[in-house]
Amino acid sequence: MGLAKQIVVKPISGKDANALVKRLHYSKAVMASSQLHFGVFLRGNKRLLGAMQFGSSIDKRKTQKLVADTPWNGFLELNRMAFDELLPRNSESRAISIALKLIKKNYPHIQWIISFADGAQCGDGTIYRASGFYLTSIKVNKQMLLWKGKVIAKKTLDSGTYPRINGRYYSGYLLETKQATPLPGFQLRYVYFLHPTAKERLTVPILPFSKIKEVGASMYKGINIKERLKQDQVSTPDKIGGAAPTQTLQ
Amino acid sequence: MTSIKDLKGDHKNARKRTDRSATLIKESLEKFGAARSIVIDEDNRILAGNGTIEGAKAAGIKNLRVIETDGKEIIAVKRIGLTEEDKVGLALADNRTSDLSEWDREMLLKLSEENDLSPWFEEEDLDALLGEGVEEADLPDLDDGEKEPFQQMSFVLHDEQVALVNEAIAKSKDFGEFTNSLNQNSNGNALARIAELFINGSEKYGVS
Repeated sequence: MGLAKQIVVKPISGKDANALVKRLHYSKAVMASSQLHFGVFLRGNKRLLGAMQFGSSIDKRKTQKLVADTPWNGFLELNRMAFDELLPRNSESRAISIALKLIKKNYPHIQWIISFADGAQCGDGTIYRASGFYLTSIKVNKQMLLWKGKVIAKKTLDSGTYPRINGRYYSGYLLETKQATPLPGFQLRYVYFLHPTAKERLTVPILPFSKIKEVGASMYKGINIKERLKQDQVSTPDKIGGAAPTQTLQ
Repeated sequence: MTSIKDLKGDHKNARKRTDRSATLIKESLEKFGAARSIVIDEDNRILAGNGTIEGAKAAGIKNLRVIETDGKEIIAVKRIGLTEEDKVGLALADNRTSDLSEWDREMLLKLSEENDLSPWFEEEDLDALLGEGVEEADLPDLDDGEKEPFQQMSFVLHDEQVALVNEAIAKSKDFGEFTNSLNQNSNGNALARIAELFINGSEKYGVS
């Protein structure tokens, strides 16, 4: 429907953004640390069709070290984003691009943005790559666990909601007793530099995008690319990926 | 006009058939024959009954009878030759195929921009289908300062360890005020004093 140029990105309230993310994001969950919320609209229409939520990283102290000399509040994490299928093709990367420009203009102290693609459940970060993010890590998933037939975040199991077993976190107990297993797949870390010098201060290597395919981390719309190739008989991942965005990525 | 091939589809149709709905329409037409009328305009554009015509084409029904009306009378299709069982089946199929079709959200959104849909949709129904209308908000202030030099630490302790730590904290406080500390949290100061004592020895506090 229409062109990506027809989209408008505006700041919205956390309440509105949370409602959309809960409705459209594959996790159905929001992050309490999100502080900055952008809405995606079609020009001339007030209906909210997409949202991007930025905020602190969970492990801020560790993440801060990713780019040397980063001030404590010098970076943000793109915590959640979700887009309605009603948006035109390529809206996702355009929306991110606009949001990043707004951040650069209004928050000059923010030097870089980090985000993660959930290659175990959703996608390998097609949108990030199309938006100028750099790939900095591909890790075998250990954070999302399969427990009682459902997917649950390790951090949820380790929160106060679940019991401690002899002082240990519940996730450790479940993993050790084989009651839970990590969801097969990968977590991919992407970084976007808002300050020109930030890239030079990156403390880890930038990985070529080809590494994703190389290690078997390709994932698109929740389907492993190998599996999808079998299903759809699509010849290459580029054909189904490229700049075409996944529906939702975190 | 005597053939359905002369009809034009509705380019503003906001309903779309699911595969199941389309199959059921076709099967119903094959089993019971045609019954429900459709609505067309002066240009033979279908206003209602797109699914019926698609199903008729799939079922091999080609003939069409047009009855012109100005809307001041109801046109009833008198179907003959149906058994009682067929009548039940036809009525159920008619209702069920409607259930199984769904809104074309893209078209509905377009129509909502060009038309007032309030006579047919409650606002919350449109919100559920197309997303809620929301207002722009002010950009929030984001902290650009450095990190406060304070941290909260948490540990898991057994009850017996908790008692031990509490006792140690109490004793630590007995050694006097924390006059040179930048921290105003007394438990934190007491714990830091214990750590200092553990690392640097006991001379300062005269503890053996």
